[in-house]
Amino acid sequence: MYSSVLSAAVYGIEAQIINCEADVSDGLPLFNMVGFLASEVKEARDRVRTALKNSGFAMRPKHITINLSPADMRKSGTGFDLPITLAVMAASGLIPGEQLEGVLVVGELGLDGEIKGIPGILPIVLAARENGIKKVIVPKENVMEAGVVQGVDCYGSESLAQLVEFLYGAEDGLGPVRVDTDSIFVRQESEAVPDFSEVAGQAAARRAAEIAAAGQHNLLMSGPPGAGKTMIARRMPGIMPKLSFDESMELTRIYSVAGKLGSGMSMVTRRPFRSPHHTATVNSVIGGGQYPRPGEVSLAVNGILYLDELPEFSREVIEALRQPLEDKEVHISRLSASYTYPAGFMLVASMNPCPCGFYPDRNRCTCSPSMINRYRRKISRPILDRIDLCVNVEEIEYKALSSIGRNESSEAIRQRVESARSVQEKRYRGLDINFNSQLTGSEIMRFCELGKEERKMMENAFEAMNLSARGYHRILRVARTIADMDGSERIRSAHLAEALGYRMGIAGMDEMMK
Amino acid sequence: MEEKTNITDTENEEYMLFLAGVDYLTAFEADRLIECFGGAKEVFEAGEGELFTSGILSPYSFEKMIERRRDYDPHEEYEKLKARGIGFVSREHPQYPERLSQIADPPPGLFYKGKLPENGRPAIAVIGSRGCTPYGRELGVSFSEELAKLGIDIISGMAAGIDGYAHRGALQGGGQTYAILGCGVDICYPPANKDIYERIPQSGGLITEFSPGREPLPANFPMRNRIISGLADGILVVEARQRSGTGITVELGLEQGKDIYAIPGRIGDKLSDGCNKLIRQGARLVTSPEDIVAEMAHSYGYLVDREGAQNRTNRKIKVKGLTSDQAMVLKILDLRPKSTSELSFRTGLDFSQLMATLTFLELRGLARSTGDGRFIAVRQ
Repeated sequence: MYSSVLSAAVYGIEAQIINCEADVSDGLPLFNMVGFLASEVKEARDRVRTALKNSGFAMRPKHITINLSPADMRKSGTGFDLPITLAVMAASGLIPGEQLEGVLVVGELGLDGEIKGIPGILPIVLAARENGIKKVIVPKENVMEAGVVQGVDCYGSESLAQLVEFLYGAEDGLGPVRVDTDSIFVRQESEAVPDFSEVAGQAAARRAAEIAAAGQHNLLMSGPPGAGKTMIARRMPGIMPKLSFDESMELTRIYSVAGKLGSGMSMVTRRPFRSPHHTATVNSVIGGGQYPRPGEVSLAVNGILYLDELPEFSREVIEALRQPLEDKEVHISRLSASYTYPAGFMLVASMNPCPCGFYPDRNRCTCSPSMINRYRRKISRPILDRIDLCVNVEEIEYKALSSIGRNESSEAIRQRVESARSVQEKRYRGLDINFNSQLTGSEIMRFCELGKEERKMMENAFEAMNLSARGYHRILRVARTIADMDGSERIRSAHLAEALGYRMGIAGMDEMMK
Repeated sequence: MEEKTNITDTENEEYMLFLAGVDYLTAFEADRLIECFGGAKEVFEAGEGELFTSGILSPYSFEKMIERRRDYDPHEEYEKLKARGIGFVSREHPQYPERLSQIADPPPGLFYKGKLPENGRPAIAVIGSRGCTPYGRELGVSFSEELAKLGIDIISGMAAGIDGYAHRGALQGGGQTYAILGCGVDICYPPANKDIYERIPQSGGLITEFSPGREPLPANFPMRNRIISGLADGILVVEARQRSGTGITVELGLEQGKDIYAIPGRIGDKLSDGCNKLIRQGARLVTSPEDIVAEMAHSYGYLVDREGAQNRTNRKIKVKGLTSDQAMVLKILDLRPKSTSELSFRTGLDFSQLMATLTFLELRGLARSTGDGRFIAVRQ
């Protein structure tokens, strides 16, 4: 007899509906599976057979054929265990097959019949909704994540036996589970996050962090070890606007696929702060691998990717960042398929001014000029060109340290950031840009128009400070943000002058050693 | 020495070029060879046995000399060098700098691009640490610029740090500056100084005793230092650690009877320890280019614009058109780098106002960022 159950496979951060077909007929006892399967899918055979036995169902020796269609797409993952089992049971007459019509099922099976969670639930349920499927059965572990999707009834089951009873009509509260997303967001607000009020002094870095957050500009901090670069970076998600529902969904999708959404969690509700170690490989930062997985750039979407000690990262990693910084997406091509992961993150990087960290304090720094040069040259110009803001973080003095707690809080800063963001939102409505940092050539001409006095000043600066065309645009973008923070539609010379101040770190890099 | 009158000056230069081109042949060895054999031509033509038994050459330089002599055509090599735009003068050439020929071990020949210092023009060596501070940088540039404007040639070693700033200052002042290299004149070392390597020969010259293609080996630099001091009337030390290459040049300069000038620094600044020590030992303390000019005026009275120097030192600079914020910040700035937090604390300006003010000052050429978020005033 033939039966089929709907399931789904995840490709990148999208899911594709897969039909699990089972045929049980007379003949030599056999359990055969086809449909371009990865080895973990083929191994389902043993899990299915044993789980059935241990859940109290007798499998008669039959000729069983399983096909996962469309048969030309490679399938991987362990989520097919459950749909295959149900298809076999329905084809054998153990469960009423009509109960499973139009129902999408995913889940991994243990040998004792336990249903275990799998990654990628959110994209799967979203794909179900797109395909008009009204009911999904997922592992209990994942049901809170599935329940976020409106318009689909989600049921979570713990074991095969429990699920069979449910299919026979037992009312034991498997669902449908609905998650109230608003309350999740409210709950998140009461959680403690690192606050800017704990940062003493550091006026320059605080201001730069605020501008960076307001215009979504990439930021580079330079300063001696222990000056507080990491401390400031960690507090930056806290001054960015609160995560919107759409942003949260995008993030949750990625975390779901990466298997990083904790058990029982519904959504990612906080802006991520990812801080990979400098020994990280290209695959772990950008994403990829034999079975592609999102990398740190995707896990940092809508949040911050912090690269501490940027020059210590391998050259390949630094260079590989260029493309995601530009396109806000990562494309990974494999023979079987190509995947696209979002990568709209904000880059915050830190570096020491020299290998020992104390340059230019010549009383402590013993690095030779060539050592310093070599160290700095690890960051190539193309990367620097994508960093709008550069700031020096000084070592703080005791006087400043003792003022902890009297500094402005993240909450106060965030309010200013949010108002600057809303100005940008209004200005760029209908365009495919959201932030000042995304402005390019023709848009800069349009949105960063300068008055006569300001134009003269930039001409002057262009020559005196030896700016490049890219550097010029970078300054206009930052000046645009500073003007927005100031509530000024026009960019004035004071805004430009301040923006020029954040270029110095970069210019200083080339010039310093001469 | 009488025997060599039968060859022309140019020919002699060709043979001297051969001697100058033998790697690791010291000036002392070259001198004695010429003396012993009667001339550069005779040295070139001497038999291996003769050369060896003369006992002048170390085994290593003997080997190098024999190696170089193989298939060597003095005339052809001389022409080739000329064709590459590299000049050569031997010690016996009239253009060989007079000052240099007076030291104990003048190099047998000099390779150069651009020109050689003119005899009779005042020259000063401006030297200091490679890893200098913004203070040293600022003073290195401004002293060299002022001295160059007053008609004094600036000699230095084109190294990173003070050397490079000395050349830059001299170029800014429109003067003549000479870089003494520790490698072949066709090699730019350090590569970061490419810009001045190209600009120096346009008004002054790149000079070395090492033949073209010679790598910048560490051992070359102490040797080069004797030429730096040898070409100058005096040595100005801008910034130096207690033990440093600068110390070697000063020692050599003292042996050669040169005046030593040093710019003082604060106690505790390691990069001023060297200068302060020199002052304690009797070097002349200078706080303005005028101090040096006054000294030089003794020997070069008519060539040095002493009055001009005094006027420049005594002038009061009024900068007009500054806002009160800008004037206030400028008043606090000096040659010691000041951090933005210090400036903010002392002026009461908030960070964004301060940053804008500093940029305005920078654009007017009155202040400069030291590249690490601190600022200094530009010496006017």
